[in-house]
Amino acid sequence: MPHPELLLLLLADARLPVGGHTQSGTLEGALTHGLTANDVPGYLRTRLLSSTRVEAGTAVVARATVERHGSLDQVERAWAARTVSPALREASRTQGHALMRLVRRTWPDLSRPLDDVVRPSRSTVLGAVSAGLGLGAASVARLVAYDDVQTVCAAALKLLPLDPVTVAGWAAEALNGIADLEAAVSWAELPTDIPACSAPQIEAWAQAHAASTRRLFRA
Amino acid sequence: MLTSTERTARTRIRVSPADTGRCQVRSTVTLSDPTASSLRPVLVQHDQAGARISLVPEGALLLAGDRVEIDIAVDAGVRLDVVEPGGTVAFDMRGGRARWDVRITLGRGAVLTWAGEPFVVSAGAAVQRSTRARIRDGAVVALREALVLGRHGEESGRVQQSTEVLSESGPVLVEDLTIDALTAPALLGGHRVMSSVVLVGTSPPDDPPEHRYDLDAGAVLWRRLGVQAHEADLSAAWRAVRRTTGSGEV
Repeated sequence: MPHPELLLLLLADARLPVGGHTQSGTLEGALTHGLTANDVPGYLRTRLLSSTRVEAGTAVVARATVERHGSLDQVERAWAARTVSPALREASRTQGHALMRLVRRTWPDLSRPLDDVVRPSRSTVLGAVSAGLGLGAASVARLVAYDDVQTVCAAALKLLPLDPVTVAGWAAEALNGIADLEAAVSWAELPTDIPACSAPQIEAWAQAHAASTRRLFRA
Repeated sequence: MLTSTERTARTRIRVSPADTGRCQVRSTVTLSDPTASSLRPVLVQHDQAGARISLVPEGALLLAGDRVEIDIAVDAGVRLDVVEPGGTVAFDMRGGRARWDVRITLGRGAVLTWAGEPFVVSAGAAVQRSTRARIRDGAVVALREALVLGRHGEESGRVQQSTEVLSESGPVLVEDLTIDALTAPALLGGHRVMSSVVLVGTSPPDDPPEHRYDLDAGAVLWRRLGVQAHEADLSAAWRAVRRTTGSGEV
């Protein structure tokens, strides 16, 4: 297996054909309901303190579960019970499907622990595959959080008239928040360890966005 | 953590089937010291199928050092409807804190509805609230809640709220929310009131579709954020839930 750092770069690359460009991290829904460009750095921080902890925690626990040959179905249920918005569950499962397609073709052996899970979420897939690729828990947590930050930032550039350098600065500022998240979730081992931090406003925006017909991003 | 000065008031209610014409309702209130304020269960209605109980506060709730524990068990095949005569205000605790812990255990085919009234977190209050429900197959639980952050014109106190509903087949709803004056604007989008209605264990009604989150495990959460209480109104959802669970008047 190649060096874990190279595999991490590969998985974090937005050019990976896993549907990342269809996602805004609910930023589009948030802007529709009154969030402004000035609020985006705060929005990134809020996500890193709430919904992204659920996602990163799920990936970390999926990784640990594959390492001890446990059942990923329990991980997936724990994630679903912590993700009240059906729109966000659907968005994650659609992305999980795209990631599975890549994994089955690229590393066929690594998809096996996922065979029993019906429509696994993106975080469950990412965590399970990370175990097979030899990535550590902290790396997996950072990967999920970094991807979330860049998803929101890339969407901001499509939705708002912003200077790309400004937005890259926001991503750089968010890195400390990613470190805090990693410290908070990378110890998790069992499905019950997955954080359950909710963000009711983001969930409400996600639902409203899913019902909207004029949108650039799926979620 | 609470200090040794905490006053615990534990209210226990258990409803069980009986063949005496009416189900059996047992309740106890245990106080750690005579100054503790408590919730006294008052039996409002009682028949063979179930009971209706009002949780009446005795003394001032909720102050620094108060620890309220409510333990409700409904055994197989019977029903309990819980109502509250009014809302609860958590007052400025001046550095202290309080807890409010609810534990629910439902047997097979048991039904619990709980029409909670607003829970107001005043500026300076620090409250940890938890609701843990364990339900067996065929049991139905319906809970209504409204969290109000600050009294009128006041900023929010601090509230850590955790909810966990577990069925026999696994977790249905697990949610933690930590809100204070700093995090409230982002987590709740500048809203001050969060109402919710959750229904677990029965096929949910189709209506209302607004403010509705269908959960994976077949349950439904209605949740609405508002600046004022009427903007977070979920009475249509609660009416639909009551019809579904076959409750009488509330």
